Amino acid sequence: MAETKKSLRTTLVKLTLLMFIPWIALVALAPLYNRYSPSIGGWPFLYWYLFSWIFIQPILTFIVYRFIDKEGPE
Amino acid sequence: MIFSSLDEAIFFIIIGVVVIVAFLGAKWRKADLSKVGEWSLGGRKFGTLIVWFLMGGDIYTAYSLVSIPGGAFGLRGFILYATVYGAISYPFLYFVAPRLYLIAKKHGLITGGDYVKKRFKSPVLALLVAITGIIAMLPYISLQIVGIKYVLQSMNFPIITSFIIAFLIVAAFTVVAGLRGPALGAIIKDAVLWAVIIVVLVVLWIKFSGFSVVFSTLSAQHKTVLIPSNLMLGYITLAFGNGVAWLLFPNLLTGIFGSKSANTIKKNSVFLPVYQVWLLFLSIFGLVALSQALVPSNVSSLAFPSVLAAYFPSSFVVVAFAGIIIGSMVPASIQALAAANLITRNIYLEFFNKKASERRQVNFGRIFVVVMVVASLVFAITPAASGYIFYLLTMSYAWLLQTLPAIIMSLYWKKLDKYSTGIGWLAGMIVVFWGLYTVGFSSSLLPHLGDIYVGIFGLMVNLAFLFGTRAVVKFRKVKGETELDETDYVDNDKSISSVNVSK
Repeated sequence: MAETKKSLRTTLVKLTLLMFIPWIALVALAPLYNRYSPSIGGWPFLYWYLFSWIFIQPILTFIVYRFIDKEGPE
Repeated sequence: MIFSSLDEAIFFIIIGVVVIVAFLGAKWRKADLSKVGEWSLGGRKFGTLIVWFLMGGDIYTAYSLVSIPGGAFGLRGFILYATVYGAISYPFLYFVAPRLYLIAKKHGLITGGDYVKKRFKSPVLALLVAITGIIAMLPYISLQIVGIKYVLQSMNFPIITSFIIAFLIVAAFTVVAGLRGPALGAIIKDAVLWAVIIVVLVVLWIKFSGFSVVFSTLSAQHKTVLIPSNLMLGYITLAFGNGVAWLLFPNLLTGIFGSKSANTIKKNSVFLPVYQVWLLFLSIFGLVALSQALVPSNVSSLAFPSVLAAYFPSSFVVVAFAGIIIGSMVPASIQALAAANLITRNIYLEFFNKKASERRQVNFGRIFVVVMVVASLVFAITPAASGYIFYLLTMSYAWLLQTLPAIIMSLYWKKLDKYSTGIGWLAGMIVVFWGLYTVGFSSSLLPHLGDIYVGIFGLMVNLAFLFGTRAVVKFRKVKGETELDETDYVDNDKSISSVNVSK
């Protein structure tokens, strides 16, 4: 039973990192990140926010790959 | 921009060389319909870095060079949905694809339809999934033809001539590739496209000081670069809908099924989203065209060609144009081949001639490839094709999304039965057709419903019917049939390493 509970928790963590976080940050929050300020290097917030997420999400996925699924290079 | 005959010669020589190389190059690697998908995800013979390079070329086809800047030119921040959906689709792929792959591996499945047949013990549901894949390929192929048309148009060919040449290029290449396999052409395409996009990025980055000048110019002209607030629901539903539907592309499914291991799939889906960065820059290229008023008569799809023409010498422009064209004809042929494969395998073989010889199958496949390219012309004359052509791709996704219950939900909801899935599918497909019809196939957003993406609206109706039917099925105590058992549903390679794998 403890085993099932642990695997359920692992699945939830995976779901959070792989789906819930990007779904909230990129989809649900769209009305909030659709703005000019604060801008960086002349880029409106909308643009550099999405630019950063292109690199943030792979890091989250990598955490799942390495530390939760404990997969490695073959 | 004026092109010399030397420029035009360079242009046609590059395209010609790719067609010839694709034809002769067959011996280099065995021609195989699923080959491209194979090195997409499996990379049996290549290292991770090369796979990354190849797969990017596979997904980010040249249409994106025409459609994304065009979308940014007209709809501003709205087009960034395309940047967003990579961060949705790859982690989603990471989560669900290993399970799908391990089932496919254990049972020797090749297409999404094969999986559905096994999972629901229903050739009819498999047929429905195959039909969806085939319908969905039509706007995609037409998108490539239309992309080529715009490039030719910006080389000063008349519109009708451009259209005819575009069609002939795609049809000819598909027939050639269908005989020999498009693999080598795909590699040349990637090399040319990468070179073009990097050069354009560096030059424009320096010229507009990291694009800050573009943003400030637009702001001085009182032109917004944000997502138009009336399209917010459209943006949200498109980003989400496309992100989730992406995995359902028949060719990608075949690629997943052909992978080396679940680990390979996971490994590749970690870093591939970084490719989305190109789409972001392409959107900004569209804004460059907008801020500098470069586009003749505001034809949005000419945004990127206009940027090239404005800042680069004609000899570079023709190379870039040739790159876009190669980059359109290769994926168009890959998708036409994948669709033909579905027709042959899940329809012809299953329902018409179970004992068709290998040779007969190949011949049928060849006929269907041509049929697909011709049929895609239906979408090439829709208003979307002369407006924002990225909407064509979203039409593909809208249909594919309706197979989400059959292919993805069924992996986790083990009691899901074929009746609920089938009726949900039917309702979803009808809604998508109806929705696209009401907007006259000019976009994929429904203005009378707050500009919601038709694919998501279809999926909502699909699920409503699915749950409704499910209640009836449960009440009548009909048991869902399946040829899979509990031990089939696993998520990593280790879980099956102890079990004897039959292949």
